[in-house]
Amino acid sequence: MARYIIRRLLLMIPVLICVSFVVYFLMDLAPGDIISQVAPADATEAQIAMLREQLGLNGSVFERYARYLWNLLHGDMGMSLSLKRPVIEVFIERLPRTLMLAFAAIIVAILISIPLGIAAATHHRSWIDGASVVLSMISVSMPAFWLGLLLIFTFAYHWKIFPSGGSEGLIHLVLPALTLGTEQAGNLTRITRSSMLDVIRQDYLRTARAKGVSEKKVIRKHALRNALIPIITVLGSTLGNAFGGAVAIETVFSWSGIGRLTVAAINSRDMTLATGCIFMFTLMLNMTLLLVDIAYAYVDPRVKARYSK
Amino acid sequence: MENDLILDVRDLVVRFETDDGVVRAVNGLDLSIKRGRAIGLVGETGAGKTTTALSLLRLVPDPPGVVECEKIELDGKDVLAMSVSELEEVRGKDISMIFQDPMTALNPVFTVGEQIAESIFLHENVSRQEADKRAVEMLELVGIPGDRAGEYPHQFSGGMKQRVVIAIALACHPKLLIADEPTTALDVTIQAQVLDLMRRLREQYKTSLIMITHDLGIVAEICDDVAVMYGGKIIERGTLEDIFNHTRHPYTEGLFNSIPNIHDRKARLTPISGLMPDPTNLPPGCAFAPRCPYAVAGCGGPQEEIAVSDTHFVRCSRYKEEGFIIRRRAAETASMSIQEGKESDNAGGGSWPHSAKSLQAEGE
Amino acid sequence: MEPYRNGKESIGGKMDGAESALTGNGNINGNIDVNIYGNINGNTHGNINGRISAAELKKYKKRSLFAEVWRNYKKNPSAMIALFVVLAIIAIAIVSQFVFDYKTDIVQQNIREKLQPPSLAHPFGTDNYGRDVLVRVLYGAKYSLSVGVVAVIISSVVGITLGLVAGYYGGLAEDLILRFCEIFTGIPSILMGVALMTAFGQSLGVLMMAIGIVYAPMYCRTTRAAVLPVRDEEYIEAARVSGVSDLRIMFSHVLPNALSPIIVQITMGVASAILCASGLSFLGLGVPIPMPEWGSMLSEGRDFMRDYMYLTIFPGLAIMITVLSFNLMGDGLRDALDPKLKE
Repeated sequence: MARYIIRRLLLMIPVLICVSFVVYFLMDLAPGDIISQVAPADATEAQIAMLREQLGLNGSVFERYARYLWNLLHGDMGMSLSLKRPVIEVFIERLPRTLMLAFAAIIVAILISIPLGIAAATHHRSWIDGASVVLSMISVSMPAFWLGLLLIFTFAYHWKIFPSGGSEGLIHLVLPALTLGTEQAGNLTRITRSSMLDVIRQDYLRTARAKGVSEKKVIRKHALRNALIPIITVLGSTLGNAFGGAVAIETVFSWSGIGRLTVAAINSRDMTLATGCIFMFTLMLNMTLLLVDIAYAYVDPRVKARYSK
Repeated sequence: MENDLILDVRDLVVRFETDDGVVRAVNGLDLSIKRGRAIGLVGETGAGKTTTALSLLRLVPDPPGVVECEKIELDGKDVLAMSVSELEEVRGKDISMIFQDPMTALNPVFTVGEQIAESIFLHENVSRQEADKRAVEMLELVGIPGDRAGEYPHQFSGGMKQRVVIAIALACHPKLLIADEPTTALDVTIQAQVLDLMRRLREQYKTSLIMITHDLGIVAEICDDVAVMYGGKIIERGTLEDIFNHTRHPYTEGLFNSIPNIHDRKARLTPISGLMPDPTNLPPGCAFAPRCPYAVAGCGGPQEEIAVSDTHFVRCSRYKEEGFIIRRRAAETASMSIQEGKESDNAGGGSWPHSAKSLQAEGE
Repeated sequence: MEPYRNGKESIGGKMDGAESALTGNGNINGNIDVNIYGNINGNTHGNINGRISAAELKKYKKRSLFAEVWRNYKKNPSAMIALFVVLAIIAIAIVSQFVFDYKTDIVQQNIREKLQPPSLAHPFGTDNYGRDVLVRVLYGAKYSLSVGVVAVIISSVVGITLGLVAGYYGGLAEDLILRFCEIFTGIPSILMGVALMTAFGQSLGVLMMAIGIVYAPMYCRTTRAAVLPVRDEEYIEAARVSGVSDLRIMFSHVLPNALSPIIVQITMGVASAILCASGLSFLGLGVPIPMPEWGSMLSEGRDFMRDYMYLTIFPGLAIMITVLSFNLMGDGLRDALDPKLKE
């Protein structure tokens, strides 16, 4: 198992390096230059060239990237030119907000989708099954930022229960988490339902019933434990999607997490900050997927056996 | 007298109401089993054997299954009147079941020890530790080393899995055990081991047994009584000797004729012609009539059970006719008959007396 | 009637229609003849051994496959409704180009009529420049549709080719391609889209390309997964042995047999591409204003949301209905292509 994890971590390194290169290169292609924002308006050509040298912005894109990568491999993500602070410092300052949002959203998604998916599967072809199919289809098809706007209008402007934006406290978290959670719930409900439907037809549930296990326990213990296996995979990608979805949702609700930070960095052509943020996003996503695969092994003994080989 | 029966079923009807029509799986089945006896429930795939077994535990999936029955009495207790929690108490304790396919009958995410212990913990007033300990004992009883209790089903072979399923079924010493084709999915050599194990354990625990199978060899080896099912009804029942040596029903005869005769390798098989009737569209009267070489116009009418002897009953209206008799007789057919001491010299003999064609001709 | 006797024969039947060079093998051929005739003529055709020309085979195969899928698809009411909605949206996108004039009806400001609530004259109201929201929503169908369709064409061409190569050759090529996909799937798609849009500038074409690139790895993976089980089939081996080129094997033998999941992916891909495009436009990085793309209409309407909610409701509804229809169509297609998968 440990060997498996180490192997996965090693495989992540080239991917992450490529990601940093792709993003750095794209940022370089973008029209506009941060230097015009940093330099004083009346700066001469020579002054600008000197400033470039100071900020490490001289040379071809490959030279600059090589320097960036060298520092990155030494754990230095560089300075944000627009904020004039180390990238890592800004990132860590904003990270908890996004993590909070993503995890709150996942919890909302789980609370909605697992019970709904199970109920739909155990009452196959009933009204609740139909409702779950329709609702999850709608949730998958709805732009999340639009749902966010509808929620703001209803709960912030109309009923004035929750604030329309900001990131000061838990009360500000409610609407964004609900939005992002609902967006993710659709897919998760579909998977829960189909996985449960699949398990419910398995012979081993009949064995359990024939043993005298109560119906409630058959579903909660024997069926759910098996149905969880595909659900966990999807949960991993759901968490990944939640990180991605956070970009738009943070903008809608003025929630100052790293999603908004990244968009702002890209817009202001802050290469180091943008590359650093996307690099960290990717790292988080890959770590999540690894964690999911590990969680897998704990739910499914067959997978554990395979990892150990 | 009443108490002598471990199971008494009267007029069991099971149908599945699906989108494509009503599937009539069981149509008025009577079945009674004396305490300690083993009965073989024989028939082709689709005859309603498994559905019958499931309805005894009231495990027929509903919907689409609909079970109607006059009486299901298990050890004097009315199964039909039981509440859900009473049923859960009976399942696995008084009546338990071994399923056909051991590869899918065990839950892949629990250890085999956990799965055996669950049954014990549910039904007997013991602690978890005690249940675990008894699970290990059960495992050893079915011939698996106790230290493998912590392993998962995927680590066992098919035969071993079936042993585990048997251990689960017998963990609480049920009064009635239903074995649904327990060896069909296994290799021949493993089949023999599993059958031997079942026979040994049954003797040890004095468990009554319903052995569901299409293999008459298994019936001959394990059972005391036989009931032959066709189209959701029992068409002939009696003791092993009644059925094997004094076959009455044309379908039972067809079953015997479909078995290869190892004593005469040149003999041709005489399979039953035609297919099982479509259970959504059963013919009126005798369901076997369309395939039956003896069928006459009267076979379309209601079929009542006719007593051949105290123990032997057949559901074939042609026996109302004076002197009607099917062709197969024990003396002529050696490969599959119960050889009581005096008749043992039959063993070398005979080929099948009739081809399908000649039977057809004579039946007309 | 059973369409096929068993899986092997059915695969044989499919492949034969695609390539006649293989039919030299009499054994295989006999099988297929029976199968295809049985399929179309309901077993009424007595002449089992009768030879059929390759052209005839091709016709039979196409008709039977398409007819089969269509027959299954028709049975699904929600998928049928979705199909009609999609056709209606396409019709709207086309007709609105002729009915409305971009300069006068879509972008021209009319301050006197600004921010009017829905009425008979303006069923969806007017926006802050006095432009009719209904007209803009109708006209905007073309942006979402074209972005969705073109992006999917780009990503499926790139993704399917890579996926075929990865799945068919395996080994190093497969490893490299999969790693390459990982780079792109590792980055949240919206961020990747933002980066691409920033790098290459805002325009409709760049938006299509950006979304096409972002989603290409998904097609690559789907194709590879669908190809893997086909790769080792005997008829592929047979084609290889008889000297058919790799390229031809990939596109005429492997791909047609791995098509079902790819078709479903493409249909649903249009839905995700439309969603992604609207998201980018919402962030101000999609179609440049004043083009009435639904996402950017939402973004503009957002500033007036407190008092003029209808400005955000209608474009959002338009996005949702379009995406929902494509998703339902994809669902219906999945069931129709493989009825066994349906519960």
